[in-house]
Amino acid sequence: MSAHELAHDWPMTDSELRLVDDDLDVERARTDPEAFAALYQRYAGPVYRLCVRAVGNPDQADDLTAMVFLRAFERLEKYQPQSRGSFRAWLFTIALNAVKDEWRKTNRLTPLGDDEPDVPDSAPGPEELSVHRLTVAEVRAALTTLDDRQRSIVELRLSGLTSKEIAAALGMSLPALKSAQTRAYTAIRDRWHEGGSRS
Amino acid sequence: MTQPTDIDTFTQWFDDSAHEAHHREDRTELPSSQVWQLVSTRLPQVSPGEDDMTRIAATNLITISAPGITTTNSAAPIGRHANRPSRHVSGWIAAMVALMLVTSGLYLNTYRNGGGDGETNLAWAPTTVEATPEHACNVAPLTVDEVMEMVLNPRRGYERLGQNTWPADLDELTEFHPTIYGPKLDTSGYREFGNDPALVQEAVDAANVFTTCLSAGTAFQVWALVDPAIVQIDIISRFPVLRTEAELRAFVEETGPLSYAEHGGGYLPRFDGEAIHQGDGNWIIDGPGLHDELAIIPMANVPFDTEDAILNVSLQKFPNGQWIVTAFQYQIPGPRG
Repeated sequence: MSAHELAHDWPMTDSELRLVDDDLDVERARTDPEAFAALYQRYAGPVYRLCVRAVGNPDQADDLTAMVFLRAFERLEKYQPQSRGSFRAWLFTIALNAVKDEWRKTNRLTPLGDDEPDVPDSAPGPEELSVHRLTVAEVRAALTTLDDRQRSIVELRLSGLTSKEIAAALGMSLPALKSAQTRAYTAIRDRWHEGGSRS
Repeated sequence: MTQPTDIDTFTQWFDDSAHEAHHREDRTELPSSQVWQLVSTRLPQVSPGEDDMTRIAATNLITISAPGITTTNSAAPIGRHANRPSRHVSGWIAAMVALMLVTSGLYLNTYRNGGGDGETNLAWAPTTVEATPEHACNVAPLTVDEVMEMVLNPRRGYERLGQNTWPADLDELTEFHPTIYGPKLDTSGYREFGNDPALVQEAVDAANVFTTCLSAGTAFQVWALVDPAIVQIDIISRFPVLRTEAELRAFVEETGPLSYAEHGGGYLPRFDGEAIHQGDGNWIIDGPGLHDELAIIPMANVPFDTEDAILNVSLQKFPNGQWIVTAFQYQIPGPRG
């Protein structure tokens, strides 16, 4: 969404203002690398958290985060604010591409012959939802039960993207996204229940 | 205990809990301040649009690999304060050194071979199969149109291979879909692989051809050997989410005739080395029912980003008789059963 498009839609929401800020910062960063700091400051946290969930190790997540931002800067010329999508969706597409090899390491052959990633021993019931405190490791384990597309959807949600942004980033229609998202969370919940029933 | 059935409630709880967990746990919310130092040090030396991480790495190595990694005066705009040098940032730099060496044409002999370790539920094939030593890729290259057909819709590629069914996910495929990874083909129509020596030999030969072409072939030749969905990913993943068909075609036209080892790296591993190592029987054969793959064969000289794992290449025989690489898998070494 461009500033020009938004100009017809006052008053702008905080979210829309952020999109304008992003695009202005991108424009500045193309000629002044120092301006890239603003984009880093805004998104380093969410990108890093995505990377932590991918690799489970803060040091490796640092490496991946650095790689994501360097790639983003390197490809800044290709980002087109006036096209569909937002800078945030564009950045997280780069981040997703960077972490997918890590997902495969976890999902497919770690270890061979063990198709049961660790999940919490018991599923939280409704009365427990308000008191059960997930750990990052549990979140990561739950995400490894998903296929890449479902995991992408959940990861982008956790990274703060709107449904519209996620749909644009993944090349899906909104109804298809909603459907896939429901399947993803259902899979997490059901897997959790299976874990509980096994224990 | 009553289990939750309301998926909306569960979704909201899961998301909130994930955020709260990151906030609560040490070193899971913000990157180290060294990350910004690393990034900001490199930014002035690369222009947006200079789409070549190898060049970036080479340009910056002199500065960053010097003792005392924090050579920049840039204040970190965000991040944890690190109290110790980040060995992993250093490790990343080391990986970039390796990348520079490889792209300079130097053969790296120091990376370990794909070992002979495996899991007990996989059959070990006999060790009498000889490797194919030729280091030339003689595969017939694809054309621009054939590649673009797969980029726009991998189904066309499957049809070319005689496969008229495809993963359910492909039914939802939209043009330029960026996220079809790890295709799961229906293997029900394939022959039982078992220990059929002829099929074993075919699979190993195909793996050898593939690894040879990764290091000595063009992109058009490599793409002729891999799953159509992977071809799509390999090309699309070089681009941000926003791209046009014309941009993709231009990329294919330009990159297709070039050496994959020098210009690849979208999805397939950069592979510098020789054909599959056969010496210790260090390749494994699987049959339908255990996994999707028909053959899982370790690559002899693993790419430099897999120091802690063996990289296996998985192949399937398609209805037209051609062996196709369908996935890469990382295997954590363990004791042989």
